[in-house]
Amino acid sequence: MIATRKFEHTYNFAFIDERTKREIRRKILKAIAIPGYQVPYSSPEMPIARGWGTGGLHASLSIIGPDDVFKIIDQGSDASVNACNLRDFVRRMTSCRTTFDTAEATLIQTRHRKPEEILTERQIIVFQVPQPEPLRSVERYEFKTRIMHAEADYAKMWVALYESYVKFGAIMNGAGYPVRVNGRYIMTPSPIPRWDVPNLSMAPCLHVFSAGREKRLHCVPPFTRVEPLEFEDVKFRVEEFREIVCAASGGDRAFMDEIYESESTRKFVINDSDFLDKVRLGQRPPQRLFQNPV
Amino acid sequence: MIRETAYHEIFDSQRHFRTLLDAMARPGKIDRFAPVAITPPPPLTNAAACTALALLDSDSTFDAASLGPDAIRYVQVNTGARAVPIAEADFVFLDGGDVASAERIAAARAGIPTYPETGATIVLQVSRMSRSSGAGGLELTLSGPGIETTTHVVINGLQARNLESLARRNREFPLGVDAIVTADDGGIICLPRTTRVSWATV
Repeated sequence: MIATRKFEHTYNFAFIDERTKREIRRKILKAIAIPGYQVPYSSPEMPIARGWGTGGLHASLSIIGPDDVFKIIDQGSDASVNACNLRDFVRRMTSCRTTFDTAEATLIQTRHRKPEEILTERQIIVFQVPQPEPLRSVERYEFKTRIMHAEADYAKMWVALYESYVKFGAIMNGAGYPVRVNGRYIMTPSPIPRWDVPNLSMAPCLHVFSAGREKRLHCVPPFTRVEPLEFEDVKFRVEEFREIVCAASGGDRAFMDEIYESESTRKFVINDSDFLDKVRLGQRPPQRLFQNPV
Repeated sequence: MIRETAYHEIFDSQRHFRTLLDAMARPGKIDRFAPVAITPPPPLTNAAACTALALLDSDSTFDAASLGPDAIRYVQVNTGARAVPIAEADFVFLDGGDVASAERIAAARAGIPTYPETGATIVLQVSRMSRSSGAGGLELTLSGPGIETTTHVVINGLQARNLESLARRNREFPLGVDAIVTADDGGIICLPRTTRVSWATV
């Protein structure tokens, strides 16, 4: 019989070798020092394909230590396939405790949401980013977007937003709404819904955004101004869930999933699974809610 | 030359990186490295050596010429980083109490507009730092990203000339250098290029 020996050998703590971790750590520190600027990094090979959360894993595994409590969500849910598999991987590679409880976690990795609950000073949130370049939709060449960022030449972006308004009567960017960080760099907040965008600004926690496929990472430090791009007369707005309550908990004032039950009926459920659980138990964790301009 | 054996390459460097991460994200917050039994040759201090051990390897370059040949040798032996002239160095180790450091800060790499992250990291050694007291020191008032409004820190053993030089180097954001200020007692604060610093003698 041929024994399977492939999985017998042990891995380094947190999977990535120390040298590569150190390189990513140096880049994270530089990314914090230049908020919103995309720092190129090594993006080492991982046991999952690029574009499935490798960037998030690189950042998380370079940051994580044995005492960390790790939480990972995918589109707000602790239970989706991507989150479960990456959680299992991180747990096996670090023996860290994992949790669903947002408040308990010290390191949170996320795909496409920031938790509803206010994150505190002792928490770090890592976003999995598919496309870190906000200007890619208006300029296809990397060397040109790099120069545009260097010169703070964002005219094309403003024109694109204006055109969107002229064509559709509203700025149509839904997920990944472009923001300006600390009054300088335009950054994509990764495809989080608009609902989450105001929560990046002047937040107590550190945000790390990492794109494995594109090999770049950027940061928003705590207490940093993050302003969604808007015009004087056309303001940024978040999704409105007017008179909508969650079908599972009865809660409102949270980002909702729209679920179609048949051709004619639909219901809404709170998207953030941990927040939903807490609302169900009658504890409503502290939130920061954005008021749309009238 | 001593090769450090008590330093755990995986877990000590991770803990120390987290300290640096927290300090860089919150400029002016006094953090402290978890103690580790290392013996860097003076004038290289424990905290500066921890910074080197946590961040440097043979992919990075450094300059510690102003701290003497022993310090250079120590960093080379224990990290594998290459000692290069100051204008090419990723990390520059300097004495904050020495007025001559001002010129060295001015000579450090500030990056280029398309790749501003190539600006150097300056490890500035000072004698003491605290939240309030500290006669004969400089009281720094800091604001910028990572700081909710403003924050204060009192530093002893730091020449105002060096802060001036740092401010001049960081005039043209995004170009600039990022400072990690380390004290003899193991305290550290970070002054990334985005932090606005003003100071007064206490």
